[in-house]
Amino acid sequence: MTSQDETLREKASRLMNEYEALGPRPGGESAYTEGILAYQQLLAEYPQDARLHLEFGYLQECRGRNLIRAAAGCYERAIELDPDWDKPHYQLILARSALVESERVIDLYKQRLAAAPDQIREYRFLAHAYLRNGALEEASQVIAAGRRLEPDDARLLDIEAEVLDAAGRREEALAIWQRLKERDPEDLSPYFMSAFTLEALGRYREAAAEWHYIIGWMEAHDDAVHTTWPKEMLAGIEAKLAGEAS
Amino acid sequence: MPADDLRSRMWRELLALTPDRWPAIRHAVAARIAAELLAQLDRPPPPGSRLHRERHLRAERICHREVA
Repeated sequence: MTSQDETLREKASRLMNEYEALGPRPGGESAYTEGILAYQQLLAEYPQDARLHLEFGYLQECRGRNLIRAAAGCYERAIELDPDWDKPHYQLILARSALVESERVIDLYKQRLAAAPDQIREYRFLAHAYLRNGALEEASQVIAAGRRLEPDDARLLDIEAEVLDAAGRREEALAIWQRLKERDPEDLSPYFMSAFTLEALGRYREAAAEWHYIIGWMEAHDDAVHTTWPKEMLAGIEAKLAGEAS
Repeated sequence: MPADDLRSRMWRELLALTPDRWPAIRHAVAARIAAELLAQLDRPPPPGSRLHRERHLRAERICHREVA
């Protein structure tokens, strides 16, 4: 509902409410597009206005949630089209977890496990779903059960390392990642995980060594485009090392 | 012969003797493992756990219209 003497601020607020209510439904997208423009104009004029920043942020947060929900729909479709492909399952778990829809995703993977109890991937998915939702005890239970089926499964081991790390048992997590690096030096995941944990422990030199390995591996494998962010992480750690030295 | 070697050799020979039975045995064992696990997991999350808090968070969001 618009009125002729509506101020720009009232208009922005109305559009934010409309997008919040409608999301991807008819009328929602145009409210979002107009709302963004209205807030950008207002913020250019009133850059110190906290309420404007809050509302503009919230409009973007709503948009982000809807985009993640749309991404989850894409992953579900990918799973339907290629049921043997693991990757969209892990993405779906991350997306649903970001939407605070843990019960939905956990229930889905419980049902899948009940339907295919001899498939080790179902234990991996369910353990991952619990881990991503902070349910560490449940994740450990799933890992233990999966291990009864496949005692030496590398993916379950990797998830266990993350569970231990999240529980503050970082040395144990680092030891597992070390084992995984020895098993498969081409898998960068344990290097990334070790880098974060070593930095959190204040072991900056070791963390820097992990980032050097990651960057070197990517450059050697013609993947220099993905080194931007690792280089930023390395620069941050080197700055901390320089701070320690001074 | 060390006990582990003996066990693994017996296991291999057993599998070799019953190749057609192995998938069914594995499935039956797995079904039991999964059933025990799912029964454990189906208990409600303990108060203070993240899953428990998430239920409250979701209820609060709905109350305050904070869901897009």
